[in-house]
Amino acid sequence: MLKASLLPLTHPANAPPDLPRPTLRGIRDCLNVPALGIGLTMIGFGAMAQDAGLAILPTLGITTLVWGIAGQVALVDIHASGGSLLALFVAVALANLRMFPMVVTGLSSVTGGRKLSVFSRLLLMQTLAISCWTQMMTRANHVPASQRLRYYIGFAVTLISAALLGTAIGHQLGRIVPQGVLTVAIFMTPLYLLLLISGARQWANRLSVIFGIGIGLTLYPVLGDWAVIAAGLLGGTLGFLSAPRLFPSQAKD
Amino acid sequence: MGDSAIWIAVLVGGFGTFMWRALGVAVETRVQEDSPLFNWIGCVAYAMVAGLMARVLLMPGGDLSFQPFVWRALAFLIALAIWYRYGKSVPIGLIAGVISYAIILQIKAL
Repeated sequence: MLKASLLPLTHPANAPPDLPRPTLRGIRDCLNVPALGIGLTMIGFGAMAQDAGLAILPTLGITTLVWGIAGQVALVDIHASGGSLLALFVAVALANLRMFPMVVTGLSSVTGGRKLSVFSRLLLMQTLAISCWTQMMTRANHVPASQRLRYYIGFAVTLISAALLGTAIGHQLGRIVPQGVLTVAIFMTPLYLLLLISGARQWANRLSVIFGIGIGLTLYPVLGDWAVIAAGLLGGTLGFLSAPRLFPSQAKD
Repeated sequence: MGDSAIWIAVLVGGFGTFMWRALGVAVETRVQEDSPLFNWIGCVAYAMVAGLMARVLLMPGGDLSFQPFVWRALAFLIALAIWYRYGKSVPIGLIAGVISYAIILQIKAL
């Protein structure tokens, strides 16, 4: 029960059996909506970067190093419009602040309790994306703790490969994909992730999702990109505080 | 637009995401798993991801116009209802949402 929030097992006795090939399973689980979604999203990004006059290598560099569509779009947008490096840094940092709570809560479910060097942990977390985090938090309960690292590496490496492939395709031939197809495709990824997190096991997390959606949408027209941070801090706190009152039978603290 | 200018921008942007991840790695070892603080940070992560994804889904590219928002929200609500009805199956909900959205786009284009 100690790790109930990470490995959503109701009883320790229900620990999942070992997978024959955890890395392969991670690859397979990714070669589904996650890889397709990120590939299509990155086709859109590659086409946008090409429009902004970026060569293919820096475009692939942005996907690899910034690794998160919101920050990537902000970078290209500000660079293309001649904004300052400070403005660029602030915009990307703002778009990626979510990585902080995601790393704090996701790292142990990636390592499965294994002790790793700081360098390895940094490297692992540099590959973290919303899709990886959501997968590890909500979907990876069939992976035993000892195999989670290999499972995650299979998943994350596949996701980055799909993203780089999509970026390159978009940059080289973005215009051959009809706009309607891109529009629907880009709708798919956020919808997929919203459905996944709506199925969170803990009421505190589910309520945080609901509050986060409401606050994020209400404040976006006023606060712009800061709304995500307000949604996180306010929505998360409301979810955290209200869950024990609304669903006392599930409260653990 | 010089070649070095874009690479400097890439590195500055890369640092803008790396610093949060590094900070997360540094803090993670100091926060006890399943403590109230840990659970609160988890709630903040869920709410942040939800807020961002809802914005990207319903106001893509910062589009604030009202009617497209309502149509996208309708497709989202259909997806959510069908997801819930069919045992919270993500593939079924996803397909329902994407098909609804494609149909809505078709009707709007007519």
